[in-house]
Amino acid sequence: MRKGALEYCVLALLTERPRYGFELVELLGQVDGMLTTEGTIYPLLSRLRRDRLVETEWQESSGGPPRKYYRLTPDGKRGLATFRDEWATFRSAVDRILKTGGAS
Amino acid sequence: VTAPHATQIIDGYLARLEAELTGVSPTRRRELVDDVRAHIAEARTGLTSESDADLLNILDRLGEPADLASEHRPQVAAPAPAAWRPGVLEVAALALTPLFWPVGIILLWASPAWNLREKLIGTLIPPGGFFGAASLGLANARVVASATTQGFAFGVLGTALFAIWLLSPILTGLYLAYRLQQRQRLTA
Repeated sequence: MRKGALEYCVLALLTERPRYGFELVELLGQVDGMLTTEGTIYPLLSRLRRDRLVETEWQESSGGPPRKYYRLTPDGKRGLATFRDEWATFRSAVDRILKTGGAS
Repeated sequence: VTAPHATQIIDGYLARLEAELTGVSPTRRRELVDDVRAHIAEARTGLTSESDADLLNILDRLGEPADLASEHRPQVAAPAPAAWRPGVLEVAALALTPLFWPVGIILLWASPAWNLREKLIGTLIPPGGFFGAASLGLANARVVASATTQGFAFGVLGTALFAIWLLSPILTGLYLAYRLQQRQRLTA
């Protein structure tokens, strides 16, 4: 479940602006339990790119190594919007069950 | 300041990653290695003066190359090993062990399909297969033929034992065939 959600967290982090891989790792690392190992984000990003949810571009950085930036595609935006709706429904359903133990 | 063993440490890690990615398409392999290389380079810019330990910590946080590579595998799963099937050797061993004991036993021991316990059972129950059992029976029949009353009683007991003995190659054969089938199902 965490892996499935992680994908959309990455997409959500890209809504504001394109970000590079290390930046995503740092942002996700601030949330406990989101990234077990930093490296696993790269296969995930590669998959998002192959699914055309993000596109990438290498850019020079000032004084540092070149960075690969990830940008949300229209497909990625749509996918994220769908997930937001589904997640809201799912979360409230789970919350209801956790609170009441199934008694309505 | 560069760590004393920076090249060895980083190149070693990337080489292990490459090795773990055998079987992954070259494009994807290159992409992942480039991404990881860029990550390491970026992480190093955050260090004012780096030590070997700093680099090792960066790599630790990245995770084991095998774990990174396994994320790639589900899509490029290696073809499952073909289900193991008993070959001519196993069939011949099964047919010949009861009937033609010496040859059957050699084939039985040559096949990797049975374990030591099964091979021992196949060899020793009964020793000599049908012929071994039959010759024992023949010796018994002679005792019965030259019977005194006491000898006759032994003879009846002997005949009963002989019947079981004669059945045993069949039972052994069935047992070996059953184990063979189980093993085949396990590897299917």
